[in-house]
This record gives sequence, C-alpha cells and structure tokens, in this order.
Amino acid sequence: MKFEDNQKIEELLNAYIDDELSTEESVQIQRLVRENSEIAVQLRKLERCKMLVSSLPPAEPPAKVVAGVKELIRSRSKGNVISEVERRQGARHLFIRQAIAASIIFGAVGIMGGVIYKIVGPEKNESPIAAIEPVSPIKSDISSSQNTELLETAAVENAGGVGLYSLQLQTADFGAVDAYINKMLEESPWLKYQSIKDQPGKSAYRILCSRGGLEAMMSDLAGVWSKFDSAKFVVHTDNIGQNIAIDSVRPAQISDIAKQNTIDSRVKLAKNFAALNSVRQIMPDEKTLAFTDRWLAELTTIPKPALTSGDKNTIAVPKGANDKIQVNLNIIVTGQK
Amino acid sequence: MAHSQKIDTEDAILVQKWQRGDNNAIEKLICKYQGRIYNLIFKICSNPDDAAELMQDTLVKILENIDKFESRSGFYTWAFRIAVNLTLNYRKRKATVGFTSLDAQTAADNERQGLDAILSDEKQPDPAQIAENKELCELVQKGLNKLDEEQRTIIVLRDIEGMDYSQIAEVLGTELGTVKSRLSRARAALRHILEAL
Repeated sequence: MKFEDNQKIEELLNAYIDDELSTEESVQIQRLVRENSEIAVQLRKLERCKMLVSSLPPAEPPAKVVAGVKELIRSRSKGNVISEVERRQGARHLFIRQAIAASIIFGAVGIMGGVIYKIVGPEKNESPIAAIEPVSPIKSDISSSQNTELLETAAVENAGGVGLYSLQLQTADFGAVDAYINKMLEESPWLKYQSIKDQPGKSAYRILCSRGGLEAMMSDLAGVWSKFDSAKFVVHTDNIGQNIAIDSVRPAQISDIAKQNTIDSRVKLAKNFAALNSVRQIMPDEKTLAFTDRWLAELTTIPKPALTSGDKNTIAVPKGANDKIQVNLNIIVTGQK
Repeated sequence: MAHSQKIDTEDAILVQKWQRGDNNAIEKLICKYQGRIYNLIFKICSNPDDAAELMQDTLVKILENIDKFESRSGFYTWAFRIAVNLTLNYRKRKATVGFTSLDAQTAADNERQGLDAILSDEKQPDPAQIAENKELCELVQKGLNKLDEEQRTIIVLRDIEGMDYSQIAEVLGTELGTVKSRLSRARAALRHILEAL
C-alpha cells in the first residue's frame, strides 16, 4: 500500500471513530475493516488510544487560582461598567446639586452686592448690581491657610466636581514623616492648607490645590512613601452614593485618579487600582506581581519626574499648579503605638 | 452542522447581558468554563504554576475583549481560542520540556505489558477502571507530554474537550482538512509513543 493511501486510510479511520463521516462513508469503512484484518487492528488501536486519553481525570484549578479569578472578575466588571440606571441617577443627582449650588452662589452674590452697594455705591438712581460679577467660591482667593471655614466650604462644594479625597497614612516614624510633610506644605505656596494637631501621634491636613499641585505633592511624598506601614486612599463620590477605598495606594495612583476629568472615570480608575492592589496583597508571589505590574502599566500614565526641586531655596512652581480646577485632599498621618 | 447552530444560547444571552451592563453575566460565564479552561491549559503545558498564570492571562484577555466579541462564534470556542493561543505562545517562548516524575518513569516500566495489552486487546476496556488506575493515567499523560505542543493541543481539544472538527478548526484558526490531517498524525504519533512505553 502506498504511503499516501495509508495516510488517507488513517485519516478516514480517525474521522470514523470521531463520528465525522457521512453514513455512506461509515458503511464503506465498516466493510473495509471486515475485509482487512490489518486495518481492523489499526482501527482498534486508534479507538483504544482515544479512550485512554479521554479517560484522563480532569485537572481542577487550585483554590488560590479560583479566588484570584473571582477577584479579577469582580474588579474588572464593576470597574468597567456603570449601568444605564446608575448613570441616569448620577446625572439627575448631579443636576440637582448643581442647581442648588448655583442658587446659593447667586443668593450670596446678591446679598454681598447689596452690602457693597450700601457702602460704596452712589446715593441714588444708579444700577448697583450690574457692576458686580458672580464669583465662584473656588476661584476666590483664600487669604489665610488657617481659614478652616472657607476650606471646608470649598471642599463640600467641590466634592461632586473635581474631587474630594482622603489619604490615611500610618507610620512608625511619625515625628520625621510629619516634619517632612509640614515642610513640604510650607514650601508649596501654590496650595492652601490647614493642619490640625489635636492629639499626640496624629496630624491631619486639609489641602486645597490644583491637580498639578497634587501631582507635585505626590512626587515629593514618594520620597518618604517607604516609611508608611499602610497607605489608604479614599475617593469620595457622593453623587453616585459610594466611596472607593484603595489600600496600599501608591503616589502615582493618586495623581492618576485626580487627573481624570469626570467622576465616572475617577471611580472606574479607583476601582481598578483597588482591585489591583488587593490582588497583589492576596497573591504576593513573583508571577502575580509581574502580572499586576503589566496591568498597572495599562492603567497608569507614564510617571513624570518630580516637579518640585530638591533645592528648596528656589521653589519651582509645578506645571498646572495655578489651574482654576481645584481638588480637596485630607491627609491623616498616625504614628503606630 | 452550521456554526450558528452550535452556539450555546445560554452563553449568547449572558454575553448580551454583559454587553448591556449586567455585571453578573460575565461572572456566570467565566465560572461556567473556568474548570475546563484550566484543564485544557494544564493538559497542554503540564505545569500547575504555568497553568495558573496562563489561566489569569486568559481571563484578563477575555475581559478586555468581550466588548468586541460579536457572537459570530460561540463564547466557548472564542474563549478556548484565546486560552490555546496564549498557552502555545507561552510554551514557544519558554520551550521547556514537559514534566515527567520519577514515579511515572517507574510506573512506565511496571505498566509496559498493561499498555500493550490495552492497545491490542480485542475486549473493550472499561474507561472508569482506566480513570481509577493512577499509574496508567500517569503513563498516558507522559505519552501526551512527549508529543509536540500542536499535536498535544489537537488531541486535548478532540479527546478531552470533545470538540468536533469544525470547532477545533475555529479554535486553531485553521481549515477543516488541516484538522483532519493534523489529528491523524497526532494520534499516530501518540499510538507509537504509548506502544513504546
């Protein structure tokens, strides 16, 4: 028998045992097998071979893999998709908040206009209100970094707009870290802040700055990040009714979240970072870390060099530090007991 | 049989639900197939650590691309195509030799007569008894590991996963005729290996 014929017969026998032949072809194979004992043996061996492989017990995925898979699904699916209903609810909620904020601003401007008009306005018969432009609280200059009330007001009004965040840091080296943060804030005139130190071993900072300023601040903080035993970042998202907490956060992740222009994109990125960091915590082995590094690279922008200079005698104003869009960040530093 | 007839209706509904924003749908889909995907990857690469990593890579790729999935094929064959491609590419990069334990080697010596007998015996052996025979299973796995990756993949898809030829062609991105000839050559090679064990 020629090699080609043998190969053709082998293919037909395989197709026969796999039930891939037409009825007519199957009948022909059965006849061939009856008439040729050599082919009958060949067929039997093929059938046994197939049966041996198909009898192999299935490999079960280890529990660790299953847990990792579930975590990945949850993070990626929830992070990627906000349902239409949620989107509409969010839009409605945002519209109501904006309408309320606008009426408060116009009301306040009206009252202020009235007061100013009484003080400096002409005696009579002139239009006083037309001379005064409405001023957004974020645009207004906060004259003192100690002005708690103004900062709080700005924070609340800003939460649904460009972002209200909290950063909770824990360190065993509280004194040195706190001094570093203090110095960093003092030497950053482009941001407004107030510090609250009402308990030993605990400091709170309320900061109002631009997104460029925040990025510069995170670049500076990256220098002492290794001193933090834990770093938790919370993205406040009042307008869709939930806050996103990211454990073991990194400075670059904070900058990337703040850079997002919409609350949806901030929430999405925050959820992705939260999931990624938790996967790294659950499976801290080398392969998982390499895998999450690839994922992180997809999520984050290319890190930029620190915008502030190490030479504090000449303070360089970071790019975008004076942007009108401001973010609110509360930093709480606690020392470990 | 036309491809459209083979598409699992339940899967198609779940994919549509996911694309409309139902987060639970993708979880159901993945949970349905994760065991089979892992088994497929493990049987091809025969290394639990590599299988775990490739399983995660497969899943990430599925989640990233499911929005682009157009349901022209079934989710099942689409997901398996991703898993097979990633596994074969990984194996090509790593180019490692399949794991064979010392126990399996000893078992090979002990079971030589058993395998010859099973392959030639006119009496049909019981698949359940074969599955319970650990040494025999190790021998068969060892035989599979001696095949090259492409041959092993096609045998796993047909004899373990139970795919028909058109599904295999879809997963491997090849023609039906190529599947027939490759499978025939792969089984002949496996038969020779098992006979020689």
